[in-house]
Amino acid sequence: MKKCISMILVIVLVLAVLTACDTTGSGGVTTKKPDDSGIAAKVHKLKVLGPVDESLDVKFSDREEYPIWKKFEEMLKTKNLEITFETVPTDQYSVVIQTRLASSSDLPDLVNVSTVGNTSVLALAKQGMFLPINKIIEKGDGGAKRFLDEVIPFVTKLNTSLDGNMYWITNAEKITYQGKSCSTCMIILIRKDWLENLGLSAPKTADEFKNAMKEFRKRDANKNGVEDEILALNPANFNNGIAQWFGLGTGITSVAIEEQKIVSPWYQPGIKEYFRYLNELVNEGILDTSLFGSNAGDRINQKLIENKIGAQFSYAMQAWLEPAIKSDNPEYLPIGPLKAVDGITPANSVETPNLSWGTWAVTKNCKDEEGMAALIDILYSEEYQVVTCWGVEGETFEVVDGVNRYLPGIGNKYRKEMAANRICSGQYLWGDSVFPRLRFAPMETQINSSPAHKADYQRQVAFYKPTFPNDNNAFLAMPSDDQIEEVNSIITDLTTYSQELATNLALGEKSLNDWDKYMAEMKELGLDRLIEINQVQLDAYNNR
Amino acid sequence: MAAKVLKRTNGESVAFDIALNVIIWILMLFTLYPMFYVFILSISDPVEAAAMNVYLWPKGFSITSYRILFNNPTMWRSYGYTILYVLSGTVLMLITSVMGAYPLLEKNLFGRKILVYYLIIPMYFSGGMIPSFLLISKLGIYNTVWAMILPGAVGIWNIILTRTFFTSIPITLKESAFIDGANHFTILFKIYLPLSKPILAVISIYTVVGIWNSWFNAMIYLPNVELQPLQMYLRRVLIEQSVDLTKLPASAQEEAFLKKMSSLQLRYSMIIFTTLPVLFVYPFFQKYFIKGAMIGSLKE
Repeated sequence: MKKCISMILVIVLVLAVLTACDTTGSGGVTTKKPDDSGIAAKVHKLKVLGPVDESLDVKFSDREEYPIWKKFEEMLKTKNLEITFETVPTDQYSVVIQTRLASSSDLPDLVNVSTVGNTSVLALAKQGMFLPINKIIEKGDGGAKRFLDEVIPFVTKLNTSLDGNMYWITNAEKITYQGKSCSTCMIILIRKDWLENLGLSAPKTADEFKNAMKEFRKRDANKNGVEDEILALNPANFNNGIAQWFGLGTGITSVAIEEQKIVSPWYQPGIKEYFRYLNELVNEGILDTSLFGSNAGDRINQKLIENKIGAQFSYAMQAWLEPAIKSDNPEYLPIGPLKAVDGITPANSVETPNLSWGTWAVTKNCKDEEGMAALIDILYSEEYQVVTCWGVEGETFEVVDGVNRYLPGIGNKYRKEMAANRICSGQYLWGDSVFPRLRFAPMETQINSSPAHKADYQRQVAFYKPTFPNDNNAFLAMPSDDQIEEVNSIITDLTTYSQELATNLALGEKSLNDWDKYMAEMKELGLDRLIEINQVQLDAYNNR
Repeated sequence: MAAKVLKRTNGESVAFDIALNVIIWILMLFTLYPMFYVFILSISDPVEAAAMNVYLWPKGFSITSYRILFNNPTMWRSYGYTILYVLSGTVLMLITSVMGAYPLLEKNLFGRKILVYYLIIPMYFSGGMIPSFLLISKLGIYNTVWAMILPGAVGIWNIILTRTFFTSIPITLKESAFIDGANHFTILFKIYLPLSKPILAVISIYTVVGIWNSWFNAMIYLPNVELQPLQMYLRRVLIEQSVDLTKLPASAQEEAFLKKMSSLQLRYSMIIFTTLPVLFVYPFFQKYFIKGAMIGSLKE
């Protein structure tokens, strides 16, 4: 008996050792049987890892049932590409990818590392975890290189590190209006139905806005017998629409796009008037202080559903807020930028027309760089842009007067229909998940499908100046290691101080009389240095 | 006179009892109210629940979210796998705890002291997440059900607990069993195990609750949604509510907003649904639990 047990233990131990042997090996090239010309074609087998959200109506797991997927597969076949997909649910993707990268085990050839953060991806790239994209695409047919140089040069400018290499590819979006680059703006929206019901006209100045909000409360615009109509706004952050009426930037530092200069709202002329104005709104009860704070999203949604939000900050042509409101025919009207101070031109907060976001990197496990180059040649091509953004002409979109337009039943609002009919464009199936997506969308498409009051507004402000971007990163070149370290040492404390000070000034709990003291504190925390670093990055971007 | 009234005939203070009762009632309220709150949110009218207008009583009545849950095959599949992991994990834990504890009873076991230290050290120090991930990956059980079952199959603390309980069983029973010709397996299965119901119940309930509530292993080792346990599903539903819309580009905001609004009440129903089995199981183990939890105070 004892000998039997000993033998079993020995066998188990040996097996345990054998199972520890590494058997990984991804990707590779195989050879197909020769075609009619007698030449054996190289088949490039690549493995791709990305997040998917299977709670959506259009699911990646159902892709074989969609004609658009078949079209994409044909594009892959032209380059002899065979892709194996590994997908992970979106909510756990961040943990999975970080663990896999940290352990360097079981890595695919192309991986979505958007959740890792550019700084970390760059650090991993320098350790050899990721291969330089610019070197890989040289092994392709030149299509990706041409596309990056001529069509989306901003992607290269934004994502090239100081060593001259680009370690990832990204989503890319270009918005145009009348053939020119045009930004989507974020603005204050006011309840149009309330204005009409109370016989009020749309405010044209900050004071008129304040009076309109006071009237909403006094005359019980939502007819619930309580003075609870409010402006939903968090004064801790400057990107709130109202700060821009006072000519202020959208963050602690902000790119003044027209001047190509880095500014800070704390140093701009309209800042004190801005806080005086906010304090007046708080004292009138127009600003609900329970909605201050970083986790106020759920509370704001509650107020929205309860039909209490008279004005809030969002995209000018948004269409998702009104359906959530428990009221008959609620409508939001974009207004502004409103004049607030004499001598100061109000600004707009905009989403830059040339957007580059998301990160897909090629890992060191990729042994078939030719195959990867072929894949990137597809991913950065005009044909791929059409397939992801628009789909198939006649099935998902049509061309009217030279402008692409989605067919009925195609678009964000029609996900259930698209899933039921198995017809959609590629962005819904695989865009911004396993593969990046490209979107070159004329704003006319969205304008033509928006209600008249939103469409008219957008046409008016299409080329409005001055503007500040809602994200500086669209204008700043990648920082150096020293800059990253210095910014990291400054940014946390400075952001906390800025947010707390802004909130306290709006509430009236801190006095504007101590302004010099606050500015001295900001300087000590490194605000000036942050402005300098960002300016260097902006200049580097412009010089590329 | 007042002092006499405030003392019972056996000398206990009535005032002390009242104060103790008040404290316990307050603690009970703090403990039970969150659960009650989630329950009334889950059965209230969806609009009232979304607006968070519910405080002490449900407003309106709606079981729509429960209907959505009951008709959701993903939820039932997660339930099934959770039961699989709980049952297999508990059985394995009991087996390894008993099989690990019994040899340690033997005072003459060769290397017993070193073995005890060898067991105790990993209780305080582990390799960390990355070495564990590498181990799971190299064993080839990554993204399989075994990644959920095997890592939690052995609990050193439970081995020690079981061993401590075994020491409370009179050694004379073992000696007389030896004299009667019983071997170690017979003694373990026919004498020790029948007398160990309290400790087995304690280990079972701790393990059941631990595995039922666990999601971290699934998050690291189990990206396949088909095999994930219930808590991962619940976590996914809750995560959908916590997206910061202001950080998304315009093209992504609408979808994120719609998802956020569509399942506001669903998370409350999910919480109730995932908690119910554990609530039902606890009373059955209670009679063993009290005795077993006092394990340190039992003397031969």
